[in-house]
Amino acid sequence: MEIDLIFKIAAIGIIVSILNQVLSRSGREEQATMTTLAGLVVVLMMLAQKIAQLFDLVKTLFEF
Amino acid sequence: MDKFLQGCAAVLIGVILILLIGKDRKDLGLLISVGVSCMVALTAMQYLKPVLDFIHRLESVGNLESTGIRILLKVIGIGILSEIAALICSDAGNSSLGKSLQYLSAAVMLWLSLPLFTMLMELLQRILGEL
Repeated sequence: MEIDLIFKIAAIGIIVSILNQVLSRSGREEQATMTTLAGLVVVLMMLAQKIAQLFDLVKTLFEF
Repeated sequence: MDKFLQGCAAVLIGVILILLIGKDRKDLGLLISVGVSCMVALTAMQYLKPVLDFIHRLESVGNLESTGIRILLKVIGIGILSEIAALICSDAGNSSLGKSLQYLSAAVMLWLSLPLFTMLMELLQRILGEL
């Protein structure tokens, strides 16, 4: 059980939301959107490995 | 047993973090729920492994037909994965996607269990033929 993964995602979420607010307040809406997108992609890349791991385990366990 | 307690703690922490982050960023809150579900499912699979090994032992001891048990195991795996994915879809507010995934999994399960139905039909035909 890797609980640090949840904390990593939460930290990225908090950082992204702070950056989003700062950038959108200073009038850089496009950069705020790009930051949000980058954060989402980073978290998705982290999660994709976990999902692949789960699928592989289910495949081997249930003999797909 | 430690892993079970860790799972409980992870779920509770995940819920609190989702509540914290979900106010501002619903997408990242959903990703946290995906991550927690993945981790909990991985832990559950680790607990299920000895049970499945025991089923295989029972199969070899009782001389059971392996095709039926293989099909049942596949159906269980498909059920677990599709249920997790469908629940995440409905959490994200897309219950129509979750429902469609459940229909897909039901169709795959039916397709997988076709050999069992064929075996049952052949058995019935043999019994009726003997009468």
